[in-house]
Amino acid sequence: MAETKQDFFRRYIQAIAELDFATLEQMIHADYVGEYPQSGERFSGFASFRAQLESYPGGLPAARFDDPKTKILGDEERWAITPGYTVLPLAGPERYTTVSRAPYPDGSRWWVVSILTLKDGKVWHAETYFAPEFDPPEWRKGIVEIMPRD
Amino acid sequence: MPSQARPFFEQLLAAMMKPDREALEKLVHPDFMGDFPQSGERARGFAQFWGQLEAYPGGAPGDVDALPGMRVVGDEERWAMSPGYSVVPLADPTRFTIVGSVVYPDGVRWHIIMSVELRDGRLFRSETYFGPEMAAPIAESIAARSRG
Repeated sequence: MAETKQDFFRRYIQAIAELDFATLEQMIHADYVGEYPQSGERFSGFASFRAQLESYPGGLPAARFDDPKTKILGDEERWAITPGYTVLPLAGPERYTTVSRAPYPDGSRWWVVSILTLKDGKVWHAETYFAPEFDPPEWRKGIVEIMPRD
Repeated sequence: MPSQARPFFEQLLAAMMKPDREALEKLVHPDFMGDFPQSGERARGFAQFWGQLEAYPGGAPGDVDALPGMRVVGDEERWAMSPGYSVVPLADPTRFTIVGSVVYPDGVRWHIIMSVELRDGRLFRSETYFGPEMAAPIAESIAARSRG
């Protein structure tokens, strides 16, 4: 059975967490471009992708990304039915948004939101944002609910 | 919805910036639920959605056009071709990712990423993330490594 997009991206996130470059090399497109818009950084190709993971100061935390908060958006079924009630495959850009959390060496936890585009079944373009946890501001107290953190 | 997604979000964000209660009541679903995962906050229903806009310190930015550089991800055209080579319409997408940025009163630019879901043509669910602009540590790290 073909791998679902959910499984593909979970495998991708897991491979990053484990620095599994053999797996990642198969999942990254030869023309890959990754961007960090917050810092204006861009890296092209697998070597650059690998270098920025390997160069992480102190090494990436070994924690696995089996966080229940990890999710994939954009993989909901899209379909078309012809007048003859035949279900047809679709064409169009394959863009997905992944949300995960990453523990940093200083003990803080950041949300990682990536907008990923696939080409030829591989990750072709990635735009990634890093968002720190913060305490609810005083001015919103009493207006919104506070969900328990895990 | 694909061809109307961007105008919808431009209208929504402009109404949020003003803020324009009358316009927002038409654009936000009565069962709306909006999460800020970074702080664990959840706004449920229109009253809470409006309440947190109204309480924003210093007031809303006012009459501005949506978010500068706003992009809507997920509204790309998708199509299917029948065996007879005719293009047939698709079920409308309802989930989008909105990316933009705002400059806060202290002069720092923050990127805003919203994962949203529409229902009945209105904003039904949202998850919003805020990421500050920062130095380029990855590039610096790689440069430092190549320098040895």
